[in-house]
Order: sequence, then C-alpha cells, then structure tokens
Amino acid sequence: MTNFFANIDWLTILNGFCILGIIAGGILTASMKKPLSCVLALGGCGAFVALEFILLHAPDVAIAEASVGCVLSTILFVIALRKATKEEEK
Amino acid sequence: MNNGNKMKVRHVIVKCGADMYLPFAIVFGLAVILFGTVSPGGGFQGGVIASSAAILIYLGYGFKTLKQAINPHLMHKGEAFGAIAYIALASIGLIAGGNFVRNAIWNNGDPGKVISAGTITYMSWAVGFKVLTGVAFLLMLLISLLGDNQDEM
Repeated sequence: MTNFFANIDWLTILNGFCILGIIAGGILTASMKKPLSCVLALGGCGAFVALEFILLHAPDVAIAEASVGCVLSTILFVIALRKATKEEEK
Repeated sequence: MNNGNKMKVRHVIVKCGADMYLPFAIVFGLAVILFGTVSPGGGFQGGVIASSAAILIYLGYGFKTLKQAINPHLMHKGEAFGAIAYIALASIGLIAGGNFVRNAIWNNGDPGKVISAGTITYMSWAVGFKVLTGVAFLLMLLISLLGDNQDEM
C-alpha cells in the first residue's frame, strides 16, 4: 500500500480526474430527467474521453473522439429531439 | 415576426459566434486533411471538422442561406467522386503487381514531409474529400427534415 502511494504523481492524479469525469458523465446521462440534459451530459462524457485519449498518447483517436463523440453526435441528438418535441406538440 | 411565440430572428450573439468560428473550423479541418499522413489526424477526422462549417452556417443564418452557400446535389456527387478516387488510387497497387491497397510509388520524398508516402497521401486526401462532402450532405438532409425552414429568414 505504501508503495502505491509513493509512486503517485501529477499524471496519475490527472488520469484519475479524467476517469472520474467519464464515470460522472455516464451516471448523469443515465439518471437525468430531461432528454436535453442527457444529451449534454453525453457530450461532456465524450470530452473527458478525448482528454483521457490524449493522456494515453493517442492524439489521433482523441481528435476523432472530440469531433464525432463530442460535437457531431450532440448535434444529431439535438436535431432529433427538436423534431420529436415538435411532432409531440402537434 | 407574425406570431410571438415562434423565434424567427436569429440572436446577434449566435450570428457573431458563427462568423468567428467559421474560418477556424474550415482551415483547421483542411490542415488536418492535408497533413493526415505525417501528423495526428487523418482524412476522416479532418473531414468531420471541416463539415461542421455547414452546422455553423445553419446556426447563424438559417437553412435558406445554407442551401445557397452549399449545393446539396454537388455534395452528393462529390461523395461518389471521393469513393471512386479512393478505389482508383488503391487499384494502382493491382496494376503494379501487388495487392489491392499496395503502396506503388513509395520512394518519393524525404520521410516526414507531406508528400513522402506514395499513394497513401493521395488516398488520405480522397478519404478526407469523401467524408467532408458526405457528412455535410448528411447534416443538410437532417436539418431539412426539421420542417421549419420554409418561412424563416
């Protein structure tokens, strides 16, 4: 146990912060009441996943995750939600 | 501005934000496509980044201006052109006497430069063009499905 705490440094702390952000984003996505809040929490989860990919020395995958998982999927979900709520009002 | 409950006038902050981020999105996406073989990124990532310009134009100026700025039929044909260009460049390996995506002209340029990987560079550009036009066409199709684009702006 003492050996584990002796080897800790700032990179490990940042890794743990990113993993906690991913877990928090997933839990918020599953437990939010409003659908728009779920979509935004999913985008935040994607941003933390992109940061974790950068920390694991994979900037290629990080750019793909940031552009697809964080921006494009959020936009598609928001457009679909707007279409669904508009048809619900009619 | 016929009825009050529908928001038809775009907010000035949204318009100015779209104006500010539009050149950065296009230039960064095209740079990621061009340097795809020698730097992080590639055709797919750069194409998705550059095609977010369509969303920015829609957010700032509405669907009519987006339709005037980007021709959807041209985007649809450009996607087919990108796919054909990828297959044609990959078939050079067959003609040179190897496998389907074999690198045929591999000994041009110094390592680390942009044009140094033979046909891989041009295949990456073809993938970038295909993804750029395809995702832009997909986004325009989804926005046109919203159904509120006839009487705005």
